[in-house]
Amino acid sequence: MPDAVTHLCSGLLAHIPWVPAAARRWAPVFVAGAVLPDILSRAPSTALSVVHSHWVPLPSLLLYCWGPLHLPSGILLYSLALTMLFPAVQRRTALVALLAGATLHVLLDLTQRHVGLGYPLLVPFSSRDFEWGLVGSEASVPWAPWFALVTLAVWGWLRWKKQPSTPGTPPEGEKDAHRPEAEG
Amino acid sequence: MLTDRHRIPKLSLLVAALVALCVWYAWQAQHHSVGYARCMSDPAAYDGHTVELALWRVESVEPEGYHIGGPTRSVPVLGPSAGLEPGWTISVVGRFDARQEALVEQWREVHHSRRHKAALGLLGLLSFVGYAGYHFRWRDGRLVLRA
Repeated sequence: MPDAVTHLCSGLLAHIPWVPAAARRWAPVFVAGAVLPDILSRAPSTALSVVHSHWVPLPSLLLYCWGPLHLPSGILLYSLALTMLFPAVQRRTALVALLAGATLHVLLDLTQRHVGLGYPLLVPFSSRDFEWGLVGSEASVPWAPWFALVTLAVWGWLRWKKQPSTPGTPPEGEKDAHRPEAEG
Repeated sequence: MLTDRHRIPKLSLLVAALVALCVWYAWQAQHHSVGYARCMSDPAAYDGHTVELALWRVESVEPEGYHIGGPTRSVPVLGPSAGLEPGWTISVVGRFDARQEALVEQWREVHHSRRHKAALGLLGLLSFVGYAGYHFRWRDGRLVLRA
């Protein structure tokens, strides 16, 4: 899969062409969706494997249970759960943003090539695995620092663009940004 | 589904479903996928079976092969070991040989950038924690976006 920096940057950039500036306040939720599959599955799996290998033997269950959090079925469940933490009127938008970010994450992961082991996207209904196998599993590593710089530059430019050119005028794209929370 | 009606029971149900899915997945991984451990449980039955081991660490290198270590066990692999070094991360596809109780290497990939990828993973995690801390707030029992 691409590294976490690449997933983070892809989340920060991918929504820009599609989302109007006024709705860009939901970008953090989309970014969260784009990063959470790795944070919730790979991070604990890796950490517990290190603990098991070097310090304390752990039950196999704790080492192998994290996979679904990186697959559509688990992503849907935790996205619904996270959505329930938002105010009720915002949940639909939050869910759409989370799932859209997660879809981006999965699509990026599918481009990679793993040794005969793709992603079993239909778990628990099927164990058949999928991947497009276009690039190696570490292909994003050399590009990640540059991608991060481009991301910082784009967001810096967007922030600069939002500044009002004359005092008293609302920043560009912010005229209708302060909508009440009663949005679905 | 997304209303505040029975919010806590709905949230609890979702978390329970997620836990059940994860437990089921771990059980399937241990009891239904065919890895080296399964082959060793009945070598004769699994002789010749293809085993795929992704992202295992080279523990030792011998003239006739090498040993790789994963989360729960060490696996002997018979095959060309020239150029391999302990500590490297590799993925191996091999055929289980019951007589030698080892995998006969058919294909392998050395992941030279694995450590860099792990470092980027940590950096990405920390960056996201900072990003989320800046953009999200907990207010009146709800998760809200920073205004």
